[in-house]
Amino acid sequence: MIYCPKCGTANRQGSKFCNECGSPLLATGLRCPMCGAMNPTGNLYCDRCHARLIPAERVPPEEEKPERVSPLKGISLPSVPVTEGGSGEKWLSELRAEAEEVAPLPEGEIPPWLAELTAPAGPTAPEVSPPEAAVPEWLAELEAPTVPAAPEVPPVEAAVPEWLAELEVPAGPAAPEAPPPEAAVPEWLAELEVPAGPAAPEAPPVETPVPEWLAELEVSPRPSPEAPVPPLAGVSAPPSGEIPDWLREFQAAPLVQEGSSAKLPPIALVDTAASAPAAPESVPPVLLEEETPIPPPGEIPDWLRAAAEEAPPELGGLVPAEIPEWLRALQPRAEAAVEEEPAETEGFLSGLRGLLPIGRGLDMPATAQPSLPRAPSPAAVARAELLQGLLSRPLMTSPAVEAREAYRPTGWALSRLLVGVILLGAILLPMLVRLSLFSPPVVPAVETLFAVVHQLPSGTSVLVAWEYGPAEADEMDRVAGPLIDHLLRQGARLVVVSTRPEGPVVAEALLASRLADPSERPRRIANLGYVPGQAAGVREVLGNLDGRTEVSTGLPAAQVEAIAGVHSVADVGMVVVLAAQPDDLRVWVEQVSAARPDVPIVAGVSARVELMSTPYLTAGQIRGIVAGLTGGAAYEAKLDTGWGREYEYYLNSLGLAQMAVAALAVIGALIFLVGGRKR
Amino acid sequence: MTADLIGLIVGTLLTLLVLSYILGDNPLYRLALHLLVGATVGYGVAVTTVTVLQATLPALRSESPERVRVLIPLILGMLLLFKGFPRWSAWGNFSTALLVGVGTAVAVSGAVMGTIIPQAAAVGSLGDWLREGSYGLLNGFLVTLGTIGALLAFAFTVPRQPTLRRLWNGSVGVLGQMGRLFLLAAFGAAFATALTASLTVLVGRVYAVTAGLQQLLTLIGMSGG
Repeated sequence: MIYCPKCGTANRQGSKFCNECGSPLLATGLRCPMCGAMNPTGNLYCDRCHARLIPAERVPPEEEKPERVSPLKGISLPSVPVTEGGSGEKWLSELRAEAEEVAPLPEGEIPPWLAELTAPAGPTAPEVSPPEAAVPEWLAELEAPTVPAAPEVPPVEAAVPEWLAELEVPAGPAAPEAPPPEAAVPEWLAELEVPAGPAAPEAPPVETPVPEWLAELEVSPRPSPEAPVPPLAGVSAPPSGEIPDWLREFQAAPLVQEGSSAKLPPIALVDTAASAPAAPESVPPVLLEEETPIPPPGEIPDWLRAAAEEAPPELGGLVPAEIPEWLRALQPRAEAAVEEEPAETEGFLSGLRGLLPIGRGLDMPATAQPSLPRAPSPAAVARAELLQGLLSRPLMTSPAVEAREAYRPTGWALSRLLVGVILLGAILLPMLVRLSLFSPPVVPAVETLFAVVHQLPSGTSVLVAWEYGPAEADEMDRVAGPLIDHLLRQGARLVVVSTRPEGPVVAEALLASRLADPSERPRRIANLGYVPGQAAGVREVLGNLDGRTEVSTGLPAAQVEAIAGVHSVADVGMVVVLAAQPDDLRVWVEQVSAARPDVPIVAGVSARVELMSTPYLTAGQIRGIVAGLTGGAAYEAKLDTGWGREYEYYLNSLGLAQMAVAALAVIGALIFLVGGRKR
Repeated sequence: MTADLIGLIVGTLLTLLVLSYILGDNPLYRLALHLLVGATVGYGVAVTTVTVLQATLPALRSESPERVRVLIPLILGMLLLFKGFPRWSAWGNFSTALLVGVGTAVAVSGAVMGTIIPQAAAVGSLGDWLREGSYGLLNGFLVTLGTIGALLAFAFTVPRQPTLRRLWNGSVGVLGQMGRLFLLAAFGAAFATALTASLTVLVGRVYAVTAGLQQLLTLIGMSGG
């Protein structure tokens, strides 16, 4: 599930927009650093390129192999040398080769990258004993081009952070003429002060703990005290009591023009060595976020005068000053530098490190605006309360329904029973009292059908579509019986198929009762069984009649005598459709008309199909039709097969039942009109 | 007791159980209903297995081209079985598409060639109606009016402009109302034929129950005597 960041709605996995509010949903996952494919969170390797998605676990220190210190910042080099012909991409091999070229330098030598950093620093005082730790790169960049600091500037008593205190060389004996100032120094002045540096040039270097982020900058291991230390830029012991030129000029006459900040005193970390070159005309701008108020020309600001008067006599050198917040922000975090990214151990990234971000990253569209889920709208709350109320309600029915249910056992069931009794009485009455109210009618369509069948030559193959089942057999057997009798009398060979599974067995039952001599069956009847596929099946069977199997004998249709010489619908003399449903008749008429329009079609259908079959009859697509019990009785009356008595019973029962239904409908309508409308 | 007699008795009992619905929904009716539905489905499966699978699978053993002709539909049919599993249902898409596509093509071609064109031609023209005299004219008038009216009966929109709306209601509205009358007549006739078919089936069932009871009474009388 993906929860919408806007409304909190739970959406299906893979949804791009919220179901409720339409907000775009963030696509979370891991993006492969190699091919860019998105992978589900939890994948260790890319689904597409098998690159590793998360960095390898860090090896415990005791198992950690000694690694060469890489001079490259930001990317570590493989600890395992690249082998020729090894697996991996070409660019990775080049990367490894490049890294191999940068070999670690011997101890005491300065690597070129560090030499570049120290080159613009200018000459340094040889007597200055550099601190153990080198000045970090970020701090060195802040240095002014070696502008000497004023020794008279009283060092400010301020809290020094640890990382800066580590840079400091333990101060030597404090100079009595430089006492620490009591007054507070403004921030911008504190920023100008040298934050670190040896107080006394004679002070020997002291082993101070160097932070690891600083240690990373070192190419070689920590040098021994006896080892030659490369000169560091801008860090030298300021001679106590000596005022730098720039400050002297500042005291004499304000150098800064009104409205210009270009000539402000340079920022901290100035070289206080006597041999340091003078400050250049244009000093780098001070990295101050707020503009420093500039005193009017010719006027020494109070803070500077106070600072000069209250200079601490006991401290002559630079003392650690308070580090402003903006400078703290620039301070590299020790933990980030200490974090040693483990080398990849598997795949073609093996041996490399720093290529993958530590930790699992979540990828999201660049345009997505993640926001916290908002409170649901009042409408949503109202809907939820309504749903909760509905669900908490006990199941109950309306009084009207209860009243109807209470009314049913007495009136409703009684009325149904009454209707049933009336219908049964109407059906049984002709059989009990031998009524003869109705006689078979004369139907023109039946007359036509009778004439068509009567003209069939003996031995003509007739395709019979048997499209009814047991449920309709009570009606359809009375419709199909006379027609099948007539066909058998005419000596026709019947080829029976059905698109209903139960059709063939119903056909077998009727054919067995209508065929006088069962021994003639193989010559007269071929039941080809069930044809699946609806319209397509009909179309197929019309062109492949002898490719099927005869149901009763199990023989291939080609071996059955009744179907001899019949390969398709073109070989039959007539198609008879016995359908109880309108669609069955329509399908057969359409397919036969489309395949062989010249083959005559006749139909025996249920009464419910009669209405739909009439257009086909009037259009001439069906030559004749016998519909319902009435049509069957009419056909039986013309054929006179001996089933006339049964048809007479059926016809009278049906007529009485229809009259009973009509009477019940009229009575019900009258009751409704008179008194039932109100209820 | 022959199998026919057993079948007659069972059929009679089931018919009575079904007819018990006249007293309302009851367990006996439901029992008969479930039996009929189950028997119909089971029989359909059995018939399909025998007439389709048993008739076609032996062809796989032959070396003739008939084997390929059977193998391809068999594979397509087996792919349809995946439709029962949502995760793998896509495997049956091709078979379904083939079934639907072929079925639709056959049905449409049959409808065009077997119903639409012949029926449209059978409606006749004005010359045919005039040639048939008053009956032909009346028939043509009713056919035309009924067809147009039944189509306009399903026009449920009216123009916004009052003048056009009045004109619309006076023409299309009236024809639509007449079309509704044609529809009512058609539905009434369809209901009447359906009722007739149902009553015929009921008559047949009542006669079958009567015959079954007669057979049962005869059997009891024979055993008693």
